[in-house]
Amino acid sequence: MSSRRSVTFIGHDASRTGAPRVLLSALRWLGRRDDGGVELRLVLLGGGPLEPEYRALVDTVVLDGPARRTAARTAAAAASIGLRSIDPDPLLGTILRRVPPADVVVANTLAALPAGARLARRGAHPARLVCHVHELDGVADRVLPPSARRASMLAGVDRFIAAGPAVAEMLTARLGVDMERVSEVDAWIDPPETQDPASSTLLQRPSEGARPVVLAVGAMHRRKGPERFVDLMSILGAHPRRPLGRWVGGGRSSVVRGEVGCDVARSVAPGSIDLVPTVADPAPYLRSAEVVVSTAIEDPFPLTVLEAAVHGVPVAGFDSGGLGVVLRACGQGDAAVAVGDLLELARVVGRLLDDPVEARRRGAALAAWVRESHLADHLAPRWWGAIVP
Amino acid sequence: MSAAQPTVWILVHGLSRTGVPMVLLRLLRALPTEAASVHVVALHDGPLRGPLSGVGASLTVLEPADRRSWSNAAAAGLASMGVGSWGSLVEQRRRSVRLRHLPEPDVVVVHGAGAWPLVASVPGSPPVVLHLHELATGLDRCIPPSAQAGVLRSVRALLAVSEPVADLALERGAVASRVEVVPGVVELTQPSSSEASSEDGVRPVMGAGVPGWRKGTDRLAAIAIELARSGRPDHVAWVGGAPKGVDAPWVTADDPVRWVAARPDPWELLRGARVIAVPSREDPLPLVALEAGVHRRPVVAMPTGGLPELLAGGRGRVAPAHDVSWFTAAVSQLLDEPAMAEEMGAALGEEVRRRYDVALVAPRWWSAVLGAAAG
Repeated sequence: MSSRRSVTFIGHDASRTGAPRVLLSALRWLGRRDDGGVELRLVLLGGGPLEPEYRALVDTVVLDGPARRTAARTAAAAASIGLRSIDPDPLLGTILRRVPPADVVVANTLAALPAGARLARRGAHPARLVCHVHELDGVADRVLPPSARRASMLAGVDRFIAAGPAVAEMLTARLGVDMERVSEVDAWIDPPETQDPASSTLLQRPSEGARPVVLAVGAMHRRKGPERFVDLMSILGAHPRRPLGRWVGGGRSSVVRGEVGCDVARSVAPGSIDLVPTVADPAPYLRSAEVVVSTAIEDPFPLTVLEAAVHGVPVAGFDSGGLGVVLRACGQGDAAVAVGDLLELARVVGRLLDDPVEARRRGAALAAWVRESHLADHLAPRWWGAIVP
Repeated sequence: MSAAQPTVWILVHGLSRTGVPMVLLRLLRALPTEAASVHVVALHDGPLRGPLSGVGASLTVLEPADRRSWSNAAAAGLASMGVGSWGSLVEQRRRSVRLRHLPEPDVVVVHGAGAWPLVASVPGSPPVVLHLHELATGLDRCIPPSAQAGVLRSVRALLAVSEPVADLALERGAVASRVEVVPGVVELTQPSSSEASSEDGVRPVMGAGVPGWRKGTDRLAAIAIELARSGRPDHVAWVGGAPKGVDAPWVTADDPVRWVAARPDPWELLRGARVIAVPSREDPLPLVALEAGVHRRPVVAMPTGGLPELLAGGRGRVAPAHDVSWFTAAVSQLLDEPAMAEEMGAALGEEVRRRYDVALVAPRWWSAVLGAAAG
């Protein structure tokens, strides 16, 4: 091992979803900082479209080989017949031997914590183990089911970084983690390429005819509530401006995509909802929207909300995780409605469509707030301070 | 074909207390003599094992209800190694061995498309009757879309539980002359007490079923919150358990819906409701709506499957589109106007007695099965 301090990050994959994108932004920030005193490495348990961007920044290893996948599936099949003591990822330990030991290991999500814990325990001296938690209860219970194993894994973490207050509350109130071991750092985004919010928002949109666009961005998972987005647009079908709903994100062939396709066909007038697969850069879609909504039932700190806000687009949605934090900080708490309160959400969106001047005012306030407090330069230093104190 | 009564195999996906197996149980109970020649084969076990064991010649259950069998796990393991066809062969072989003790069938009834995979394990090439209980998404999950036309054309008779199911079958390749509507059924011998249960869990607005996307149970929160806003807190409950798995986060700490565990007779609670809510996204003909007629309760439903036809003519309220706002307003109106609600429940009761009584439907069903056996 070299004399420089070494930090190894472990990510669950390189998809264009929240946690991998925050890590990418953090690595970019570290690159700009040019801290030659730290050796950085990234280990990914799965691949994805962000892989080339990671590789351009740090030494990156992807552990997603066919042997590991087959072993994991076989273990899952064995677990399904009651053999639950079997290691869910039996080849991981062997594969991780290829990764040099480090001084600090950072698991970027709870999903990556089991691998991070194994890596941290390697070598003569255990590494400092940090877990950047981007999950809330539902996902946390799925990726790390409640058990003695989870308790012992959480006990082995030296420092938790919670992606927002809702995550911090989950860790301390429900997962039994001491408050002193938790650093709360909201999610952040990279600065937008367009610096002038007025040039990117309401007055300059691609043509949608006269129909305003109500946009949601997210993977096609139940957690993101795409079926509720369709129900929202069904209610808004009665709005005089005939808004067009657009969902950006997800593949073309998942089970949920199939269900949502059926929902669209039977719930709204033809041409009222547009389903767009995941795109590399959602910014043009965000700028084309009159309102951005989040119908997620559980979302620690949706980056879409920050990205919409930075472009001056007003936001409304279910009050889960960071959405309410952002809106209340900007005096727009009325736009964060109780999770599931679809009718109130429809009323909020309807009012924004009715009053473009107020919508523009709200968008501008959000843009100012994000540009002042939630870009990488604002929050990545706190994140790094928790990793390397 | 053998002498007087043909040997009939009925294949069913599972023995849960859900619509498809419940309809089968009712049909067989209504034909005790004919059922003596029926062998039921269930892919998965469940709480209807006991009741179904008593009505036919035999009941064979191939897989446990709550976990995989060894052969199924082996098949999954082979599939994960990229040799899924070997996995299918392993499963098919094991099932064939498990079914060897049964007399060869003269006709096979596939009761619900979920049981279609079992057809490959049936000996010989008997005629097949497919009783379809699925709309588009359900059908696509049970039979790959690329195989549907071949499957639907191959069956001797296709029984559909509602007109929209029949339309779907025709659209996907079924032969029109072989399609007949044989709906879900109710047993009118059930007690139809109008006494409200005093149990915890009873609310003025209730529904029942396996919670999830298909039953539209995520819509209940919106309905419950809106009712609470208009001065009706704690008004919504669902019998069938809380959402599980990926749907579990629907249930928040301050969830406005009361989720009640599934029970053998959900009407012990449901008859305490003043309105039965059916917020389904896709439901061919939900039994809870038919049973609401037996108990003379008014129904508010989303427009799916056979519900618009069942509830037409003042027999209930059906949203013109999948509009949760409209649905909630209709529920409120029925809560506000008990006389109208009572009238609707009574009208639905008449319709259910006229068209969905198992005593009337079961002979038609059996006749279709015999017709297929006779060729």
